[in-house]
Amino acid sequence: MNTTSENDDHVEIVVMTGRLDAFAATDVRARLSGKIDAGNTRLILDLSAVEHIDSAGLAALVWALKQCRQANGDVRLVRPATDAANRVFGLTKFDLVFTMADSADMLTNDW
Amino acid sequence: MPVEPASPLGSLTEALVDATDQLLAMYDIASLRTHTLDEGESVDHILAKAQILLRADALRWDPGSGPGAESAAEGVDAAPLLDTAEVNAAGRTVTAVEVADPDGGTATLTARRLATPFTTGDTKLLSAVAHLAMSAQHTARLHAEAVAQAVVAHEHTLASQLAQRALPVTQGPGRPTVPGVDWFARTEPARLAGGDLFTFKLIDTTFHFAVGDVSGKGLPAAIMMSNVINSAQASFKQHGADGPIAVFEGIEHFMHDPLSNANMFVTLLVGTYDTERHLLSLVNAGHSPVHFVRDRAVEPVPASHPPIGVIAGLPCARLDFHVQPGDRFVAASDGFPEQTDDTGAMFGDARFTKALADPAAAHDFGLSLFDTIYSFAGAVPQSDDLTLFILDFEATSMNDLRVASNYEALRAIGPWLDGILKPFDEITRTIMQQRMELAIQELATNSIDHAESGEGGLTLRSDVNSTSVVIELSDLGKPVDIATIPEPDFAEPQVRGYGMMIAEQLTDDLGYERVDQRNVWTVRFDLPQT
Repeated sequence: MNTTSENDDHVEIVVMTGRLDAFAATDVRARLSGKIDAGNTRLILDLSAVEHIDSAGLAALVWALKQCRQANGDVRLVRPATDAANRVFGLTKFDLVFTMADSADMLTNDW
Repeated sequence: MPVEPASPLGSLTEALVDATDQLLAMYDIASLRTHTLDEGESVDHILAKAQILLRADALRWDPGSGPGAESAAEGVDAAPLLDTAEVNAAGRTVTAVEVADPDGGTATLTARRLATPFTTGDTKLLSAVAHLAMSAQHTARLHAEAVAQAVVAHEHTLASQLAQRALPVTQGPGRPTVPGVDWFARTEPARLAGGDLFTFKLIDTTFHFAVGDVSGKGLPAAIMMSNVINSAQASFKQHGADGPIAVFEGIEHFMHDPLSNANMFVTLLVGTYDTERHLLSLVNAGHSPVHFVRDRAVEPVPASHPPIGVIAGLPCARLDFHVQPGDRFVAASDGFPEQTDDTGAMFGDARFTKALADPAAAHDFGLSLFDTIYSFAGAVPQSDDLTLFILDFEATSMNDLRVASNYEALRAIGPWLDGILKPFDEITRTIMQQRMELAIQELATNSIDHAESGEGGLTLRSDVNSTSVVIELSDLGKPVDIATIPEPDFAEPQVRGYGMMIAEQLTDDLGYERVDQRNVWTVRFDLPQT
């Protein structure tokens, strides 16, 4: 899992690639924790290039969501491009919990 | 009746004929020896020609020693010849010469001529014939000995080859495929045959094997070696289901007395590998070197019993190893560490042990270790039998995946599923892959998190039929109580606990059972209907 970030008016966009699974989850959580601890609690996680997400990867996103919302922020998601990577959100109903869109622009426009 | 005196012309003619006959006879005698290498035949031919040469009534050859006993020219009864002492005394009608036998005895050639007494010249001729006969006799005996030795050598070679054929084939159709194991076995006797051995048998899901070294060298050791192999094979079949101690005791029962009576013994390692439980169990009766390699760390496997043939009936201990992918087991013979170079220095245990961490695959590693020893020895002949038996534990079967109990290892599941789904069309592959990878990944992650599957790792197996793909996932972890796995609370999103729910939604059937200290999850994915 690789992540790159950019700041845009107090919204930080984190672009993720590769697999977001149990092996990557610890690293992802550590990176997001660093941003949240630094006060960046409005995060857009761009998952469009992520190939695979399982419940352990999802758990890292949920953990970040809870942290940010407790600090009056939010974690919003750019949907994965593939059905395979999207599937876990539908199965767990987290597509109803996260604000999700097909692009980062769509998420920043109304934030 | 008075004898008419011969005319001078008649006497001359007779003398010329005699001289010609004698020359021809001499020529025949000289050329005879090349025509036959049979002792009796060659001496008889010489005597027949010598009889003409000497115009003798009879010739008798007493070889003095050896198988020829006595030979006489055709038509002569030997007994009267020797009993004519009175005739001999009266007119020298019997004469004999002795000739030394190179084997130590003395041969005698005796001639009888009643018509005229033997002259001094006749006696010299008789002596020459006797030497010829002795030469022919000796050559024939040397030839016979050479033939006999060649027969023995040939039989030794055949017996050696037969003994070595007790060793199982390791290549081609006879090579068993052991799920999750890449294995190598080879023995090279220092002579035509040797006492080193290995043998194996795959019975259902258990790989039985034995590696040993009979004391002594060459054909005697090889004969006992083939008996040990036969005993091991019988014991694998008879006692295999009861584990390596029962197998070992079976072999000991067969082999203790024959070995002990011959003042021989065999160091023997007996092992079983349970391919489902990934359990390697060993009984080591004094064999070395035996090593278990994990993460490049090489640990010796100690002896748990004396060699067979020393003391019968002692209790023996069993050593168990829960293997992981990447583990290696090596049983070799002492010929490896004890091989010397041209300075007399041994290859040694330290160098041998260090070599075992070579990451190359079993076959390549095995061959390279033999090459290493041969290079080390240089011009020094192989001093002892060399045997090497390697088990590399890994996932080699497309239908069987072994992964370690860590999250990174689980990434092998996706490519493994790709392989299983290869026979299907692209649409089916895509649909099935999405469902299966996520579901299996969730179950495998649960196995690591909740069952603490630990060093036994995870095993995945597939069964593809015309309507579905069934995956079995098993681990050696602690039992799982499905009833205690909490359902996710969607009102309060939680960080963990969705894995089982995801797996249930993605599969058409999901079952769990505890089998023989294993957690076994069986999941079915129905193929999309066309």
